[in-house]
Amino acid sequence: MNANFVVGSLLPFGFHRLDDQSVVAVSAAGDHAFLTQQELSALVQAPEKLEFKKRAELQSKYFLTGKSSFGTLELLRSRIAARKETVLAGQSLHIIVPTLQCEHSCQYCQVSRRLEDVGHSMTPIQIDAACATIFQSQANALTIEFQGGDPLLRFDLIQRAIDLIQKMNLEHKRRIRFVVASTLHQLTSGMCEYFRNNQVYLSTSLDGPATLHNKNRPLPSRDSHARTLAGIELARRIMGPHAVAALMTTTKASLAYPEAIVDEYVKNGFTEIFIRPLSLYGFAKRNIKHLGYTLPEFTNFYQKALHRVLEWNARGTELREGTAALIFNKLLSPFDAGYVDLQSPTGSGLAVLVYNYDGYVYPSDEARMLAETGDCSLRLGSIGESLAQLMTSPVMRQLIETSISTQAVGCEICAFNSFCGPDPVGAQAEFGDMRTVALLTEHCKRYKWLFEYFFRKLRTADDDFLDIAYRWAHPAGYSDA
Amino acid sequence: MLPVTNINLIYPESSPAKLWVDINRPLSLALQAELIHRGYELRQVDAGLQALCSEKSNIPTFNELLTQLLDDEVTRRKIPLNTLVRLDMFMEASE
Repeated sequence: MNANFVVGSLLPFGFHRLDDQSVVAVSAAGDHAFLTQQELSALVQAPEKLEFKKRAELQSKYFLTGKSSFGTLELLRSRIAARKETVLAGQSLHIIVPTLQCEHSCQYCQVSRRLEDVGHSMTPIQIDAACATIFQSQANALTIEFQGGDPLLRFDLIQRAIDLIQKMNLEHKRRIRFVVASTLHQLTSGMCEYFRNNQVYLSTSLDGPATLHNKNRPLPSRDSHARTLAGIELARRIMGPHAVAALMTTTKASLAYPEAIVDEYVKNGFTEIFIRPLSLYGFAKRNIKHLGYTLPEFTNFYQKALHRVLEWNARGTELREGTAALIFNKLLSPFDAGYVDLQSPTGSGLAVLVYNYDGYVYPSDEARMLAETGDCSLRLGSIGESLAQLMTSPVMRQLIETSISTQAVGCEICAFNSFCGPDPVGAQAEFGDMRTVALLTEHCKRYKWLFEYFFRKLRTADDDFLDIAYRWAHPAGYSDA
Repeated sequence: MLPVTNINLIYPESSPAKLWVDINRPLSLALQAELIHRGYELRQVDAGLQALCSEKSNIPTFNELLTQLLDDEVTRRKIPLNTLVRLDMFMEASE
């Protein structure tokens, strides 16, 4: 038995300092170990001096090989490949933007156009061409998501795409899931019946209690919150209790209401909430004084909201928090949930494609939002070009080259580079150059904070917290949407 | 190494000279980026770098941080590089 733990070689790993006497170390496989300073020194200089139990732990987590551990390197390669599956298996998320039109005039919205504006919708021919490209992806499971504007304003185009994809899939036989992201204000019983018959899920925005939601999402009638709740109720009645998922956007006004926002989700029967910061693209960037906040302001808000979520769970009401879940997935699961912002190389283009109303294909939702502010440098090509053409475009090659976390400056020594990667689209938005050193970006600051925060929580966690962490780490959420 | 944009060094000439701390050794690009990531401004002076501390009382904190980062860099040099994830794996995947 001891022979299995004869010290062999050190394998690649990174470490992040938690204080002057301890670090969290992460192996290339993504497994982690909390080490004292003495243990870290022993590991890199004389691993045989480590206690037997610690050595065994580090060997099982791919920090060390044993002299007789044949195949460790191959197993490590398999673990890495499993984590990279989301960017190696083909584009699984295809976002179609049938129209930019929307009733709302939200200050932070990057893209929407008023109802009376014209020329902001796809043509039926572009819809058909986008559907053809979708099936050129090698991914076995495809999610087709309709975004806007408010896509329900062009239900005719949604129907055309879904009918065509269902027909084409009789031959292709992929696992297909449709999602419509909408305010739900235009939702009718007829639409719900069509969605139910075609396995379509709905995703909507719920920013919190009525006062906050209506402030964030202004309508002349000042009833955005009530109309969204009416849409949720209608969808649940016809399509089933898990037909709708909701997302919230954190504005400056939200920061004062972490508990009330969480309570609003519980009150309306949701089992999942995703506390996420505002992406300062496009129009949101222009309104930064009104809408923006610092990372410490957001993290303070986030901790209070998460605390409230955990309180609800302790009281027996199941509520999953999306940001914590995706970080736990990274830290605790060998199988990646595929969150686009945390892929290396970037999920933009490799995991996601956006077919935009303007006739072009973009590598991500953020890239098409950037185009609305005049920076069209991230266009991969036109709708109708083959997937092979899009993937060999100079933009796509640069997206890949700049987002390898084991090679990018600063990222190559980061302990979290198995979980994360540079975000070239975000760097382009923030600095006008996708080759910007990742450490300088908001993306890096935010996720480094999150990784460290949750490692600290795991280090001191009790059994109840660990139960939740491992449950949330599973890639699938509770909601169907 | 892939081409990257140089870190934009900042030169706020109006800052009091005593708050600029000399860094008496060359820093890797990764370490320079780490310091800026942590909120310090850097400037090039002759052949060396200086970091701006917001208050005089922060200078010992900066020196402690720099010492720790340099020590950690020495430790990292003893760890094998992760060559298992290579760019060509993904360039092929995109084609």
